[in-house]
Amino acid sequence: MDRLLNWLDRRTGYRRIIEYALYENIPGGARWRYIWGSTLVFCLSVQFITGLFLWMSYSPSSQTAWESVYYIQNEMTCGWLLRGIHHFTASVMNVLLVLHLMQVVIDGAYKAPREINFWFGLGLLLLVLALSLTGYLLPWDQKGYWATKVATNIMAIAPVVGPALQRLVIGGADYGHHTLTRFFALHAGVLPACVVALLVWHIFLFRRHGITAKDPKRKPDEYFWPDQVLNDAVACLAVLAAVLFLVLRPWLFHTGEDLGAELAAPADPSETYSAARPEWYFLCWA
Amino acid sequence: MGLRPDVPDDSSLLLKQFFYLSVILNAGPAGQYSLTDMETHDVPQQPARRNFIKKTCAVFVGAVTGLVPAISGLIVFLDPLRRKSQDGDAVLVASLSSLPADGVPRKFSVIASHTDAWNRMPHVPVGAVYLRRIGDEQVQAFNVICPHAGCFVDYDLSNKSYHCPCHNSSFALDGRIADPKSPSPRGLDELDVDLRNGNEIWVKFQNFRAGDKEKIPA
Repeated sequence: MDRLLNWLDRRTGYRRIIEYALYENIPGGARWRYIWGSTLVFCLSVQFITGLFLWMSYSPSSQTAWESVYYIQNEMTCGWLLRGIHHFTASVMNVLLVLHLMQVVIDGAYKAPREINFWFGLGLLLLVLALSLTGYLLPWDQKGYWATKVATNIMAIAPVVGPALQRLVIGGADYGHHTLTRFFALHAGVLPACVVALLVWHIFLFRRHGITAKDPKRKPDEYFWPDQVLNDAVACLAVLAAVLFLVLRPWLFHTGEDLGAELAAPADPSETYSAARPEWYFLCWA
Repeated sequence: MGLRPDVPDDSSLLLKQFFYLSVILNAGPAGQYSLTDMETHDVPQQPARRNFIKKTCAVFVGAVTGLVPAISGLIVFLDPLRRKSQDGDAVLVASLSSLPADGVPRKFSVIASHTDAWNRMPHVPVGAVYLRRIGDEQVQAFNVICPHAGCFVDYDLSNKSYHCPCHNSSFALDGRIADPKSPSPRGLDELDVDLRNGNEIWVKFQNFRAGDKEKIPA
C-alpha cells in the first residue's frame, strides 16, 4: 500500500496538497466561532450535488417544467427528499450567509489586509441571492411564476436600460419557454461558474492572510486538523439536521402538507394568485 | 522532491499568488513545484490517543454529513431501474383493403397515446410496423426495429426481404433471418394482430430488448 501511495505521490504530489489543506495554523486553537465559512462551503457542495441530480429529471420548458418537477416530487423514489434538501438548504444558506457576514464584521475580518477578500465575500453573497431568485421560477408553478413576474417587472422600472434588461432576462416580451431556458442557464450554468471562480479566490485569500484570530487566545496554536475539522464537521451535521427537520416537518407534526418543498399549482396567467411573494429572504426588498 | 524545483524565495508576489492558486486547484504548474515555501508553524501536538479519537470522529461525522445528500440523489438517479415499459393496448393501424393482395409488406406508423416520463400525449407516433397479407383474412405484423441493435429496418423490394442498413442483417418475408451471416440474434419481432369489423387491423404494439436471442419486452 505504501509503495502504491508513494508512486501516486511522486506523480501527483497529493501528500503536499493534503498537508496544505489540513495543516493550516489556527492561532489560539480551534473554536466554534470559526465554523461559518465551512458550513457555507458545505451548503454549496450540497446544492451542487442535489442540483446535478435534480437536473437529470428536470425539463425547462413551459410545457414540461412543472410536470417534471411534479414527477420528481411525487413519482420518483425519494424525489421529495432530494428536492426538499435542495430547497431548504437554499434557505438555510441565506441564514448562514448573514451569520458569516456578522462574524466578519464583529471580528473586524474586513479590515486591512483582508479588504479584497471581503469584497469577494460580498460578491458571493449576491451570487447566492441570484441563485435563489433564479431557482424559484424553475418549477413553473403559480408561486414562482407570479413572484418572478413581480421581480422582473421591478427590474423593468430601472432607468434607461430597464425594459431592455427585462426583455433579455425573460427572453422576449412574454413569459414562456425562453424565460425558463434563460433562468435555468443562469441557475445551473452561469451563476455556479461565477460562484466557483469567486470561491476559489475567496478561499485562496483566506489562506493567504490566515484566520482572523479572536483575542485573547485561549489555547496554544493548533492545526486545522483534527480539532477545527471536527468542529466544522459537527456544525455541518447540525446544518444538515436542520435541513432534514424542515424537509420532514409535515410528517413530524402531521401538518398535512407535502413532504419536502412546496409545489404550487401549474403556472397559469389566467388564474389569480393571491400570494405573489418571493422567498422569505427577499421579503425585505419586496 | 526529485526533479521538481522549489519556488525561489525571491519570486515575485504575483508568481507566488498564481502558485498558491494552482495548488488549490491541483492544476497547471502546481505539480512542478513543491510547497516548501508555504507558511508552516510548529504547533504543539496533543496526545496521540486523544488525537486519534478526534480524527475518527471528524472523518465519521464528515462522511455521514456528505453521504446523506449524495445518497438521496443517487436513489433518485436509480429510479428508472424500477420503471417498466408500458404494456401497449391494441391500436388500430390500417385497413385490410390498404394491403396488397400479393403479400408485399407495407410500412405503417403506429399512432397511440404515450406517457413519456412526466408528459402524457394522445395520438403521437410511438413506432412503426410492417404489415403484410398472408391470406384473405390473415395479416402478419413486424416491429420495424432490428433486434440486433435497434436500427430501422428497410424493405428491399428487389430482393423481397427486409434489410437493416446499420449492420446488414437481412430477414425473409416471414421475418426469419435470411442470411446466416446476419448479426441479428433473432428474426424480426412479430406482433399480435387482431382483425376487427372485417376490415380493421389492430396491432398490439410492443418493443423488445435488442441483442438478445429471446424476445423479451423492453
